[in-house]
Parts: sequence; C-alpha cells; structure tokens
Amino acid sequence: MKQVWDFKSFIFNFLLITVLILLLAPLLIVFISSFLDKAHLSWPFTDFTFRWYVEVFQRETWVKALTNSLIVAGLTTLLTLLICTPAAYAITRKTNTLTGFLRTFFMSPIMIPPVMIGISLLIFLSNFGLRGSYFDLALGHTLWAGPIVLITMIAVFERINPIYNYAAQDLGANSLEIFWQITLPMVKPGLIASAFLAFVLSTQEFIIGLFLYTPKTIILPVEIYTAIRYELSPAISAISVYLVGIVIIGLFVIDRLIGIENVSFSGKG
Amino acid sequence: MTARTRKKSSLKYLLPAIPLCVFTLCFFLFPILLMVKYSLHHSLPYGEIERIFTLENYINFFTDIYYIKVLIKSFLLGLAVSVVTIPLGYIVAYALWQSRGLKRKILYICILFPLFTNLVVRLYGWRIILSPAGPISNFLQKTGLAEESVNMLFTWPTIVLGLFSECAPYYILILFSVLTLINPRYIDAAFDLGATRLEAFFKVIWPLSLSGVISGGLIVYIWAFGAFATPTILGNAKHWTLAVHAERQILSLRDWPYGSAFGIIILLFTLLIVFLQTKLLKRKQIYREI
Amino acid sequence: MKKTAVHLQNLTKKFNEVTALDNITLEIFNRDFFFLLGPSGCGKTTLLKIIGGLEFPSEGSISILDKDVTRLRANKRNTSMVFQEWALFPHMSVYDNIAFGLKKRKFDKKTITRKVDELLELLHMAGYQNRMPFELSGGQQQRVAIARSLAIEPEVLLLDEPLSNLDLALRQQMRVELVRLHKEINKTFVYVTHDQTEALSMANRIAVMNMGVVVQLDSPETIYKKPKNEYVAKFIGEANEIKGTIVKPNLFVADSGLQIKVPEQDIPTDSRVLFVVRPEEVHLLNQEEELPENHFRARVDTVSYFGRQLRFYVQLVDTGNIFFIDIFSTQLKADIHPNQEVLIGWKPSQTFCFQG
Ligand SMILES: Nc1ncnc2c1ncn2[C@@H]1O[C@H](COP(=O)(O)OP(=O)(O)OP(=O)(O)O)[C@@H](O)[C@H]1O
Ligand SMILES: [Mg+2]
Repeated sequence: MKQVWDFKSFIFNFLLITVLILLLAPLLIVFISSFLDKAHLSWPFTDFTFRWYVEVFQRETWVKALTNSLIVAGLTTLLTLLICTPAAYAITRKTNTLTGFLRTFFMSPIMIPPVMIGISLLIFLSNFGLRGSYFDLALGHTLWAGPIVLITMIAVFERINPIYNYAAQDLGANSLEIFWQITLPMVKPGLIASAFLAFVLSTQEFIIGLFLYTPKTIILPVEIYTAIRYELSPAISAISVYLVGIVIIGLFVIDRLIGIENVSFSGKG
Repeated sequence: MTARTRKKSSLKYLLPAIPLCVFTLCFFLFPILLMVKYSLHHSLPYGEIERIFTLENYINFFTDIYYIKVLIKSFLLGLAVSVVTIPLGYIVAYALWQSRGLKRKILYICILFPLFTNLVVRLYGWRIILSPAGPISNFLQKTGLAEESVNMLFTWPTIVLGLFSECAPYYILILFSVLTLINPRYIDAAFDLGATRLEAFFKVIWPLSLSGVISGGLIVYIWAFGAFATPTILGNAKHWTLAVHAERQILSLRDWPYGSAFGIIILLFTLLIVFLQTKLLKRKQIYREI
Repeated sequence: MKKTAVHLQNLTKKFNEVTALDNITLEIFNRDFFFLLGPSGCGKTTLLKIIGGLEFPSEGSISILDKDVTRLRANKRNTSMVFQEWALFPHMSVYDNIAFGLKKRKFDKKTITRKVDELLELLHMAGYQNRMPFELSGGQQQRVAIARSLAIEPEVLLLDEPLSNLDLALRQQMRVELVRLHKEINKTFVYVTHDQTEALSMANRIAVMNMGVVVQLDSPETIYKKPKNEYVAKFIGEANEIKGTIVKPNLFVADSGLQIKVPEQDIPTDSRVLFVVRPEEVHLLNQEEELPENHFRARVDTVSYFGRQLRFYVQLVDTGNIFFIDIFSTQLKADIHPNQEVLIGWKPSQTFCFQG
C-alpha cells in the first residue's frame, strides 16, 4: 500500500466535507442560536440560556401552530397509510407494464414543483367550497408524503419472499386472508416506519401548507416563514429546534424498525 | 377458458391500488385540469372571475417582456443549480457508495437529516449565517477583508447556494441508488487491466452511473426551476422565479386565472424537460443493460 | 386397475417467450410415490406448481381424482406442497403453522390441537408446539413443513426438492422417513428432485424430464436398465460411451475399429449410434470362467477407491478405447495394479445403442 501524500484523494475528501458542511451548517447555526440570551440574533454569540425553549410555549400563536401541525400530520399519516399500504401491496404482486405505469403515476405528484400542488389544490378546494379544515392540509400533505412513503413500502413488500403467499394459498387461504394473516404481520415494522415517515414529512412540509392554510389552521412551518420575514431571533430558533426534533425522533425510530438505508427517494421503474 | 375471462381474473390483484388511484386522480390530476380551466378564464378586480374562455392570460404572459425575463431567469437558475449540484453531489454519492458499516450510516444520516428537515428552518439558518450581523460578515470584518458589514443575502450566488443545499440530498440519494446497482467487480476488473483510479472511474463507473446523473439532475433542475421558498427567503423581488410570481398572483393579488396560467406554464416547461430527459436516457440506456 | 390420482393432458406452460413445459401428458396413480427427475431449469417446479394450483397452464388440462381442476386455485384443491425453502411462516409458532390450514377449514379448537399433536408425533417432533421456526434446526423445520402440509389431509402431497437444504447424513435419514411416511399415510406423493439416487431409491415411478418434456416414465429399475434414449442413460447413473456405426443388426463397430456384439434393436444398418454400457456391467474376467460374447484385453490405467467400491480406468490393448469399471471390493479376488494386463467383458444384453 502506498501511503504517500495523495493529492487527488485530498481534493476528494475536501470537497466531500465541504458539501456535508453546506448541508448541515444551517441546522447547526439554528441550534446554537436558540440558546442565545438576546432578543435579536447578531454575532458574536455570547451568553447562553435555555429560556427560549420555555418561552416559546407562552406565545399562543406558536402553540396553536405546533398543535395544528401535529393534528395535520396525524391525519396525513392515517390517510397515507390507509391508501398507500394496499396500493404498495398490489403493485408489488407482479412486474408488468401496468404496474410499471402505476408506479410512475403514483410518483407523479413529487415529480413536479410543489408550488403546483399548492395552487391546484387551492383552486380545487375553493371551487367546491371546501376551505378551512385540517383535512385540506392533510390532503395536500398526503400528495407529498404519499409517493415517498409508497417507495419505502414497495421496498418493504418486495423484501418478503412470495413463497409465503404460495404456502398460505396452498393451505387454503384466500387473498384477503393471506394479506391479513401472512403479509401484514411480516411487514408490520415497515408499516410503522412508514407511518413515522409520513408524520415527519407532513410536519416539515411548507409550500403546500402556505397555499392551503387558513388563520384557524395555520401550521408551524408557515408560522416560522411569516416570522422570519420580520426578525431573526433566538425564539424562532428555539421553536425551529422543536420542529427539527420531530425529524430526529422520526429518523431514529425508522432506523430501529427497518434500517435508515431503506428510506429512499427513487423507486426503480 | 377464453383469453378474456382470464385477463379479467388476472387484474383482480390490482384492486387494492384503487383507493390510491382514485386519490391521485381526484386530488392531483383533476385539480391540475381545473387549473388549466381557470387559466383560460378572464379575471375581474377583487378576485372575481368571469367564466369565459380566453387565451388572454397566456398572451399577456408571453407579450410581457418582464415575465419573459423571469422565465429566462428561472431557466438559468435551474441550470446554475444543476451545474453546481451534479458534480458536488456526485462526490458525496460516490463516497456513500464506497463506504461501509458505521461510516455509511453516518454519511446516510448526514444526507437524510437535512433532507427531511423543514426547508424554512434550513433557509432561516442560511439567513443567520449570511446576514450582515452574521458570523461570516463578522469574520471578514475582523480579518480586515471587509471594512463594514457585508450583506450576502439577496444575491444570486446565495440563491444558488440555498437551492444547492435544498436539492443536493435528493440528487445524492437518487444517484446512490443507481450506483448500488453497479457490480464493484467492474472496478476491480478495470484495475486489473492496469487502469489508474481516475481512468477506472471515467471508463467504468461514470458511464454506468450516467442514468442516475441524468434522472437525479433532472429532479434538481425541475425543483430549482420551480423553486419558491429559497428565492423568497434568501432573495428579493429581483430574484423571484416563475413560481414566486405564481404564488403572488394567487395569494397576494388574488388573480387566480393569471396565477393558474403561470402554474400551467411552469408545468409545461417541466414536462418538456422530462420529455427531453427520457429521450436522452433512452439513448444512454444501453449502459444500464451491460 | 389402478386409480388415477393426477391426470395431466397436453399441458403447456409459457412464461412470455420461455416455454417451461411443452405438451406434457402423464398419469400419476393413486398412492404412487411419484418422482419428477430432471436437471435444473427443466420445468419440474413449474409442473409441481401447476398440479398444486399455484400456477396455471397456458394450454391443456389437469384433473385430480377424476375432477377437472384446471382453473381451480390452490386453496380449492386437495393438494398440498412442501417447498424447497420450507416457507414456514416466520411469525408463527410451530403450532400455528401446522394449524394454519386447519383453521382455514374451520375445524374446532379441540380437533385442531389433537391433529397437531398427532402430526408432531408422527414426525417425531412431539413437544415442539410452542417453538418459533427460527428456534428449529433445518431438519426440524423440514418436518414441521411436512406436518403443515399433511395437516390438511391432501389427496396428493407435492414435495419440491424438500431435502436439498439438509446435510448428507440428515438427508439420508429423511429419505428413509419419507418412505415410511408414505407407507403409513397411504396417499399419493409427487416428489421433485434432480438427485437421481434419491429418485432411484425412493420412487415407485419416475418421470425423467428434460427442457419441459417428459422423456421417459417408468419404474426406477426400467429407467436404469432400459433407458429410452441417450439423455436418460446419461442422466441416470454413469455410463461408458463409444461413438460408432451399426453394421449388422447385432454388431456395432466403433470409430476406433472396436467390434462389439449388441442386442438386436430396430436401428437400420449403417446408422450412426452411441454405444453405452454401465460401469458395473463391465466385469474383470477370469481365464478359467466361461467368457461372455464381448471380451477384450486391456491395460489398467488407474485405480481409485470409494470405500466399498473400486473404480478402474482401463485402456483396451487393441483399439485404445478407455473404459471405467466399478467393482465391489469384496468381489475382487486378487490385487490389481496399474499397468497390469487384464481381461474385461460384458454380456450384450446389458448394453444399449442410441441413434443420434
Ligand atoms: N415466474 C417465471 N417467469 C419466467 N420464467 C419462469 C418463471 N418460473 C420459471 N420460469 C422458467 O421456466 C423454466 C423452468 O423453471 P422451473 O423453476 O420449473 O425449473 P426447475 O426444473 O424447477 O429447476 P430447479 O431444479 O433449478 O429448481 C426455467 O427456464 C425458468 O427460467
Ligand atoms: Mg425448482
């Protein structure tokens, strides 16, 4: 093995670390700034405190926005699981042009800029006089989270050997019994992980939410978006850290259940 | 048994996909068609809509030099972000592919974590870093590189940077999933034949991963072209893309027909790019089959 | 007359362009221990799945106990399949696995418990009810898989290379047990394998398959002693092969000039054939004994030991053809060394010629 100074791999590692810093630096600075003991953010960062983490809960608008976010995320999770689980099951049963087409069709909502989903759903809901409920936002978020959850679920379903289906059918089970008694118990961890995934994706979504929220149903990302137009403050950082905390918990649970590597953004086919 | 009845019974397995099919049709496809319809209506003041059919919104758009410029700006922005993201993201995807065990897990989390995290929070972080009162400006002043505070917000490079950090994780993961399909033995084989590391890369891995670069790069382009959050949070009116204008028309000016037309124009250009990409990919498909 | 358990008529199965089964017609009798034997990829599993209703034929029909089941799904047929990978449901205990089919058939709880106990007893697995599959050894999983299939009392039990995941010793033990089981429960077994020893030692009838067609269907003895063609002769057991021509109805002349007496077959004279004789049919001869019609002088090339059995490679002195000969060590009168000259020979009735 040659252990001499390797210029090429130095450049490679330098660029790798630069990109990783670019990806993580904004989150790190938000985290650090949330402990700052000033009303506004300005460098240098000195005097640290925990008080913002408590204070944000005294602002009614933020508590409301956080609660709304959780409600919408709950609804989104429910809806996503309800419609994506059977679909993922169905399209992994066979590989043919039809299932290939369906995969692409189900993915199409994330293949276009999310602004489009926001605008079109806003028009759609207003056209039928359906504005103003949590359900609107859940619909939009399901369009966003659904395809991503579907990819993960497809991976989960594809991992189970079809031989179990054969065996169950052979012993007298019909398709419905096979699904409930064989497939579902085997994919349970994958489904729970998918639920967390849907929840996380919904809490973090912003653009669709911006189009669909009403004052009553405003969600946290939109609230933060409005707030940072006027000020940069440790309080905003603190509430942001709460929002990011949901991601950390979610990713941790998903990793425990199915391994983080199984979360992917590109379904093949 | 006729072929027909067999076909019927063999489609039964798709029944469970019906709810998602209906959902996507009702809440994705239908609203977009509705948007097409709205874009053909005439708008009146105060958000009123006259339900006649007219092409005036499209004509207005394409005859307004200001919006043509916005369109070109959006295109160029998409291009700039792709040009930055494709090589830099490749490095991370490659490192991820080469790594094993704990290192891979850590890298994976470094990519997934920002990807999942709320975009506003990430852009807010950039605002803190790049603002005149932020650490970089402060550092430049301290070292004497700048005389007074520097505002790096509201510049094009900053917008590109923001979009890069938004799109790179997706691109990395898509490319990574293609890289994992490559048999590592090809590289060994290339080394065996006396290639250097760089040669092995360009002769073997690069052509095999091209389909990932193209489809990942496409996503980057589409998202940067249709970007909304980054130009509004890190930029000002000068940097507004088509998507921002669409939002303004819809939410601020309440001109839904015109806003819908913006949306449809974004959509058409997106589809055009997808179409070009599939053509490109078809020609490159041969590499994948090897 | 024997009752027919499974009757396949003109069965063809195509997977897109691949023809996995090509116009197969065959009858499996009631209580047969029937073997499907053939090399990898010849369509054995596909045929078994079609019998079990897990795949459907592209053409042709299938009936089980005189009932047409061509379009009946697996859960409506009284067959059951034991899979190569056993396919025990990983999230269910041994009890639940075996009870699965019984629950589908709506037996009451007491009957189910009784039947599971009986089956475990039958397969020497009593007391394992509450184990999970991952807590069992390969052989034990195998038994549970068989018990699970037997639980639904199928008329026809289908076994797809059930022993291929076991080590040699266990495999031999399970072979004996399966034969015993077949006798005890008196049902039809259809067994897929590519292992000829397994087929020869356990079957009462064997269908030899190649590339989607049944080449020969006979008893193990007939298959071994009277293979219908070159393919069967080579696939089942080992054989010395020589290329040559039939010059008279009972005389074969090898390309090397070697003349061999063969039984008369209706092969036209002057046609090219392959002459085949099994290694255990070639004997080392004693000058004093009465010599068979075919005998030749040969020089010993190598000798290899296989425990009870010896294998010689010899070269004919006159024509240079090489033969291998299997002999039980106990039959050998004197030591034989390489380079020694010996006399070898065989009866014409034990050999075959195949046109090709
Ligand atoms: N679902 C399928 N789709 C396409 N081709 C298939 C399918 N199942 C089997 N085949 C093809 O049909 C042929 C027969 O396969 P089969 O599994 O019956 O072989 P086999 O005799 O059981 O082989 P093995 O001993 O390896 O198990 C093979 O060429 C196989 O590739
Ligand atoms: Mg097989």
